Amino acid sequence: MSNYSPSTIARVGDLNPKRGIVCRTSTVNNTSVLLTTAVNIFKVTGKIRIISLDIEAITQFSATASVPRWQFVSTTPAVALTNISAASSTLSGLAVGKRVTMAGTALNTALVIDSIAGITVKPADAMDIGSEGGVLHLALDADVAQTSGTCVITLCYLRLTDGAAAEALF
Amino acid sequence: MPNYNPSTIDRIGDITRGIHVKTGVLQNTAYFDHSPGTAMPLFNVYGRIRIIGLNCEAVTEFAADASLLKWTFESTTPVIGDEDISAVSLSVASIPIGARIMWRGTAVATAPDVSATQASIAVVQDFMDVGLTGGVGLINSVCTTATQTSGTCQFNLYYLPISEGAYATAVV
Repeated sequence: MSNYSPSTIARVGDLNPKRGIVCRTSTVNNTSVLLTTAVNIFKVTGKIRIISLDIEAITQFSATASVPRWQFVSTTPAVALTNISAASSTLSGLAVGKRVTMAGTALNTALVIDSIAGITVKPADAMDIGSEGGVLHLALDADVAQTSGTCVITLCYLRLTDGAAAEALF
Repeated sequence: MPNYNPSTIDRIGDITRGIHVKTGVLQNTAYFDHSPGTAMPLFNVYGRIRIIGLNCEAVTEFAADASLLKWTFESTTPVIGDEDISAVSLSVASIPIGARIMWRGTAVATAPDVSATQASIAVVQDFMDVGLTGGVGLINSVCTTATQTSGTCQFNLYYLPISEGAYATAVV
């Protein structure tokens, strides 16, 4: 059994296709990312495979009925905001440790909310997004704004084209 | 065919199948005790990890007692409580040396498989994330229905880190 340093453990995760490279935001205020209109969360260059994409409650969410969905907006080539998931059920009062995960099955599959804080089952499917040489943003549109609470948004991905990468904007 | 030394093979294993953490060899009388059937801590979880594999292997043959096993996750910081990450297995009575009880990870209500030999079929393909960003927790085992009166076992966890700095260690 290996006794790895944390940085080596992280590199092992990078190399495993059941996780891939992790791109995560810092702990952000819900008032910055869960709004009534789309907010860009990650910048994606090239084409990537999304292994998992989720929002984790770091502190309890406000009692406002936010129903986020993931979208993309591509700048190269130009493509307008497009849904890549349906909205979740309401995140009003979402408890600490609960995660809201993209299922990846279809562009109209709703996000899945953990039934138990701290335990998240594997997303149903992976999803490829982006294009060779393209640039896009993954955005969240919550329809109803959160007024308090904090979260971390985590994207685990594999790169599919040369130079493909993702970058958190928060 | 490459001629790798054992340590290189170990590293390749860590990368392709996740980081391996294992308990010591444990007495079934303690870890398969259904009365009181309390949660027995196996692994500390720091931060959020992705479980790739979780199993219990018979180091010596199990007793002929119809014990059932399940796994739970308990967040201790913040305190959330002990929650199932599997249903109970079928009986583990008399499983032979090398046989395994295998967590499947499909859902928190999915029963583990119990292999009758050292050969495990339908190898686990799903994964499950447990733990919270910045939190601390435990992966536990719970025995129900009957207590094992003899035998020894060892638990194995294969994982990947998800939150920054996340890792797991054996409790026992």
